[in-house]
Amino acid sequence: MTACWTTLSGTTIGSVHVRDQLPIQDAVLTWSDLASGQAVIAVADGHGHKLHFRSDTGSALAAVSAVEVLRRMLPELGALDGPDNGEAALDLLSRTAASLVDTWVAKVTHHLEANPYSPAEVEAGAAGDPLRAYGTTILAAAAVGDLIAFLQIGDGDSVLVSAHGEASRPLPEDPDLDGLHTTSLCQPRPLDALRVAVVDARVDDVALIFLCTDGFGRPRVDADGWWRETGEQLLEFSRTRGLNWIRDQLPEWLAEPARIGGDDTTMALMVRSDVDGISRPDLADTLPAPEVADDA
Amino acid sequence: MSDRLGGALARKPLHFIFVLDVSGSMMRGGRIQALNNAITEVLPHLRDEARANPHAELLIRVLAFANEPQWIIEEPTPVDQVHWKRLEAVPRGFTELGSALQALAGALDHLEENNSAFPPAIILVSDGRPTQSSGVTFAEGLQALLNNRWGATAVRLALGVGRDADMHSLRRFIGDEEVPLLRADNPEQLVEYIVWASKAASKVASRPVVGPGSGVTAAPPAPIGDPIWSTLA
Repeated sequence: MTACWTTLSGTTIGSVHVRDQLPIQDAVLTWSDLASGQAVIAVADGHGHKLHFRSDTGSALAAVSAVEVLRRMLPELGALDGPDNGEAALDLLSRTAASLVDTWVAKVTHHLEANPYSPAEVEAGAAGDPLRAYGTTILAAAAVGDLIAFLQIGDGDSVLVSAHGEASRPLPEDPDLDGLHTTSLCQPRPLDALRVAVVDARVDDVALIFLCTDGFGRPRVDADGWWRETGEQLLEFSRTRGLNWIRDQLPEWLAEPARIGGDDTTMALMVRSDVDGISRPDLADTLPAPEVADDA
Repeated sequence: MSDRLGGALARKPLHFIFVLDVSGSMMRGGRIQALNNAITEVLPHLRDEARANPHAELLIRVLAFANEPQWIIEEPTPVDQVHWKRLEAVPRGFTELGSALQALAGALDHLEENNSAFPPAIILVSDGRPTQSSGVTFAEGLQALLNNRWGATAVRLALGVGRDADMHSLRRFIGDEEVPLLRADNPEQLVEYIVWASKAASKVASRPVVGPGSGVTAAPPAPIGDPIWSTLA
């Protein structure tokens, strides 16, 4: 039986951005196809600093770009399902990430052409580094059959949870994350900060994955273990309360850390529907995503 | 199993540390009185900052140094509970800044190991060239601070007092050429600059994580009054 993936997501503005009268800087976009069982989720965290004064747009464009390029990649990734294809899958994902960066830059450039920097913004140096104003992270995951691809630039958390409730982080640490600054799509050579992984859901017995911006985890008392607890809970809730209940709870789950921690808080989930106890693939909250070009 | 996803939440501490020069030269021209006045005046501003940043628990510490470092407020103290007792300068006291930074690095060793705090904000005020009469050199003390994870990521600001302040050392302490380095030449400027630095450091240290190249960007106040400390013999 081909695995079928369901997506859920939510996002809430942080109290610091409410105080500073800034729009929400996070973005989230999901896509899934019931017929094929494929899904893509993406979250992005715009930097929200005066130097990154268009980062709300930057994060939205990042999420759109990620869903666009990952959707395009899925057929090729699915064809690599099999033994000894791990390197080829990682190579495909790295090329897709490069395409994501190119797509994001193209969308930012297009937006900038339509909305040029003001003389004051140019005076402040925006034109010298035109991407900086749009600075954002990007976290994305895509599933086709039993293969799940992860890519990430910047902070935030990508977590997978096994059918036994064990959570793990599929991506390596980013040594440049110091708790004060994050790596970013707007930096020179953003691919230097790219982290990728391809996971076989059968090997790792994956039941669900979640991506979240750092606003969800940073205010946790258990700074080292919150993501394990979150994964265990999400699986348990999926089985005992159902995905409808999770969807209803997401706004409050995100509002509390956004209020206490101050930062925008966003989460996207991808749940495998054929895991014992979970069988509701009809609840996907997929948002309209840009159509993939016919020649893609 | 709790219905709250992800476990308990808490405001993160923001450690705000003043490192203050009380060497013998601070007795000249009313500098130590001006420094005391400046700290007294900055506290209400920090209380305002604390109220404006409910997601951060602003905790104050004060380290003074002359011949040796001495914690004036050693325990991280909520800003609402800080009652300032006036500092005295040490007659003929040296400027053992290296030892002070080493002591500061030692204190930061005891901070949380994980990401459960904001990067500390450190404000250094000094009127002279660092000496090495007994402890470590300035370079060694600075290196000890930068070897500490929290010291390296801290928002570090510095203010020179008068014309003898070693602006080169203070710049090395800040470490970021983009961050303003100010020199106060009269009591009014010292107050203005400490208030500015405190608010700027608080804002930067307590904000959500930002992108590359986003340091202190608030413009410092323009100089006011006469430069009396730079004309004193």
